[in-house]
Amino acid sequence: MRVVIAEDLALLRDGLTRLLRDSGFEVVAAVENGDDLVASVERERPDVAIVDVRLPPTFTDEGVRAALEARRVVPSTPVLILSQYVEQTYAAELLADGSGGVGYLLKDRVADPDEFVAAVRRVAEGGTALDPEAVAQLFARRRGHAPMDELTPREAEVLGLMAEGRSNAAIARELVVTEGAVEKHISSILGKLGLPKSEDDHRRVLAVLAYLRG
Amino acid sequence: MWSILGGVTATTAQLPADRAERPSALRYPISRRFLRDLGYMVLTLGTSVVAFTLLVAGLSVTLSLAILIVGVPVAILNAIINREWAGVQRRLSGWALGEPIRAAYRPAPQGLLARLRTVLADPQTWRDLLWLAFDSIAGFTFAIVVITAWGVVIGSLTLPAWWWTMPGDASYLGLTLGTTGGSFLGVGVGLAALVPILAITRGFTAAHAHVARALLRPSGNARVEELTESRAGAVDAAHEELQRIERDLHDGAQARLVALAMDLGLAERKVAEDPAASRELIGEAREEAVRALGELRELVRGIGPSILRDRGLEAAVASLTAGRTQPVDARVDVGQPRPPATVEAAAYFVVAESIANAARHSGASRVTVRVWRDAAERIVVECTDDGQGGADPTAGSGLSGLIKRVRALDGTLTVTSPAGGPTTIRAEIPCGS
Repeated sequence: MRVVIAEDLALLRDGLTRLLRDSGFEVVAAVENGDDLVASVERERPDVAIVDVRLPPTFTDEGVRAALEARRVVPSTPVLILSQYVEQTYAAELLADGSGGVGYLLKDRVADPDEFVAAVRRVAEGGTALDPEAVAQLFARRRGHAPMDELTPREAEVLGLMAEGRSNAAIARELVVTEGAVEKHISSILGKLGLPKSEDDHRRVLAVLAYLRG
Repeated sequence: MWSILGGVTATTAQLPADRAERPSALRYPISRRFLRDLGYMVLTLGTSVVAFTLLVAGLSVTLSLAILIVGVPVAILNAIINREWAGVQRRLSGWALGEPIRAAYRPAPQGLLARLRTVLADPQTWRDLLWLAFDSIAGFTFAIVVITAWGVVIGSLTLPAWWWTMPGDASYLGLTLGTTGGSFLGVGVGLAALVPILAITRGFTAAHAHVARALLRPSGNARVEELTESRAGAVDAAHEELQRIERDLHDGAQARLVALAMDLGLAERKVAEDPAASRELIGEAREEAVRALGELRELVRGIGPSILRDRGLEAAVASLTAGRTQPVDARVDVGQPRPPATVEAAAYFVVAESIANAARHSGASRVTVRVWRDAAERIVVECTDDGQGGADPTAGSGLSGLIKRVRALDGTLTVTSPAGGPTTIRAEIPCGS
């Protein structure tokens, strides 16, 4: 799997490169600013781009804007944003084009290489990887809204894992239940939230997120 | 010269440096005061001529070029020249009054047009112009009257001495003097005129200097503006400081901890299959932890070294200069009681930044630091280096942050750094009321 990394701090750029190579990825470019990211995505057509939110020259949301630009130049390029804080607006902006392959993780998540690598693969395959922190923020915003309060604690847990981008199988493993039980929970959640049923994991996640954002 | 052209912010709110050391007018003996008045009037003859020249030349050149692009820099230059001249007049009239006259101009922004707007909107620009007009007419008249009167008085008092050189029919004040005794009439007239003429000299000097003070010191509004601005400067300085801390954390300790976590994660993954590689990763993680600690320590130090809080300015400056490769000759004596913490911190950062600048940019071989408390209860910090000069406080350096910090405490910071050096950074920070 071919990866482009955009991270301005050499320490983290090298660390990520090492971690990904060690995990069997091919790092085809490791750049330090937004313009180079767009250029290398256009040139390399990577399977996934891993981008720090804060890049020079503005050190604000340069990375998100560069990622959006890269997806405009090469549509549907999967993008995983890394950040030291969660700003759900950024995640929402990336999800807005609905073309899939979007991740938004805290940098802390690299501490667990296997989880992190799984998230990178999920995004590369067109899935979603939202940081639990971001999911929690989205949940907090909807708390007090009628349908959310109707969810059982177990269903809320399943919804959180769905929003993070986990597959049914992964959710089942996480909660130590059967996949059938997970499916039952999901259809109950979608029913309570009034969302259409879908077989596609990613579409399902998007529907949930659209609901949470609204 | 750049400090005039580029660093208006830095220099204009400056008080004359010797305010504190100057005894008040009343302590001079009477005769000294009259000599000073007379000297002031003689100088006024000169200043009024300069004022007239500046007024006429400045107005005619600026107005005639006003419709051209080049009129913009010319107008700014004209205002700057008038400001410099007003500065000379402030010192002169301050000398005559026995107390300094404050100056305050709005700080000049970047860009010619913006600067022109600021200059035109600054009431002091127009008051400077008004002063030129006053000095050209009244100053000249006062000076001529006083100098002529003294000429007559001195001439009269010494008339007997002149008598020998006069032809027989010499006239004095319209009288024809025929005898030696008649020449002593002059002495009588001179003595009689002495008192009113002393009074005229005193009166004209006082009037001239008071008008100068009224026009050249900041008006009430200007003081309010200055305070508003120094308050905004304080808020800006605090905000910039927070941003710097956030940025230092993001790029420093936070990033190191991420790298450390990443190393540990990889090490954990490899511990079974490749113990040697995992040991190496754990070692790297430990080093990252140590570096993160170091950066946190630096950051905390940047907020304010604990030695400053615990032991005061002298100890803090000593610890700042200890162990530097570049020799720093520091003498700090601010006496007791200790200045307020904000004043100590500002003084400390002026020293820290000056030393850092000298080391980073100027190629200085030695730095001299002097910190003392003057008679007006101000902490004065003076840092001089023998480097190549050319420091520019407007270039977004640490110096501009320092200027804001010092202004927020109602102090002044001046940077004198001609190309070729030496660079002197001087801050005066009042200890507060």
